[in-house]
Amino acid sequence: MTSSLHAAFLKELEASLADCPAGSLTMELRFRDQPWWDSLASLTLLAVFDSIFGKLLPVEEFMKCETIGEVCRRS
Amino acid sequence: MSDISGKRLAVFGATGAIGSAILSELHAARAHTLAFARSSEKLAAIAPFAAESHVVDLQNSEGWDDVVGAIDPLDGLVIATGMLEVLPFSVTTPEKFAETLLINVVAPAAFLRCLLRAKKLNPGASVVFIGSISGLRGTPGHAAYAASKSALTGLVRTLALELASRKVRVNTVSPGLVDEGMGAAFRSHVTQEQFAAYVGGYPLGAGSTADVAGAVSFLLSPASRWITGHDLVVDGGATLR
Repeated sequence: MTSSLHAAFLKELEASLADCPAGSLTMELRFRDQPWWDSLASLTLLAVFDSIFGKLLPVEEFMKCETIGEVCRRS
Repeated sequence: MSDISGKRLAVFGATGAIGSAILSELHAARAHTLAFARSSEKLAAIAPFAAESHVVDLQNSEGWDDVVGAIDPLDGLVIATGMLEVLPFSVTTPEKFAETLLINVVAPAAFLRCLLRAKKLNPGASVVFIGSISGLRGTPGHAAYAASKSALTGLVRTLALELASRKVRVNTVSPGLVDEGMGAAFRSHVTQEQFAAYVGGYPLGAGSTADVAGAVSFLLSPASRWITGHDLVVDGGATLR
């Protein structure tokens, strides 16, 4: 269940990030290091997190995350 | 010219941050204030500023006729209802887009139509919609909200012409970010640094709901009797850049 939700999160996030190259999102990805990551991408991630996991990820918590996997562990 | 004492002025969305500031301003100016909102509990909290309080849900037209039938004609009204959900366009579903337009444009317009058909606006009445500078310039994460606020200004220009023969004026006040209500919601979506940078774009600094209320009060008063179809931008100069 959790892994399928995580997979759904990755799939929806990649679809929602216009500048994210296809297939590049992984649990290990340090997203803030990517050249295409910006404040709009952060907003997008928070919205997708809410829609897939059904809960809000507080900005302060999000700021502590360095990888997509760390984001998912807060679901 | 700016005297509104004794005038029957209604505020829809009176329990929100901007709506309650407007109600307070009108009450202080000795207007006969009518507060409209969905929650009777929240209406009770602002009762000291309201000569009359009425529960109405602009998203549900059932019961509108009863509410409208129960009030005497108005000299002015402010529609301060609305929703803002900060969402990048790629994650704004068609349903969310439609919901935003419904709440911010369609429902307020439908309720105003209900008031007009029931002859509840006196000749010379003033109608003020609360817009947003998001309807005037691009703001990331505001696609649906911006579309709804742009739609309001088009609606207002049309209504200003259609209602001019009755001397009813229709205007918009478009605020920039105020750090209450929706502004506070926006703040919760960004870091402190991002918020500080955003406020830094306001030449006069951050505004307050009282700044918006003052502009609305002016448009409700006889001092603005030759102003209609106008969008009064209240943003500390933000859109000048």
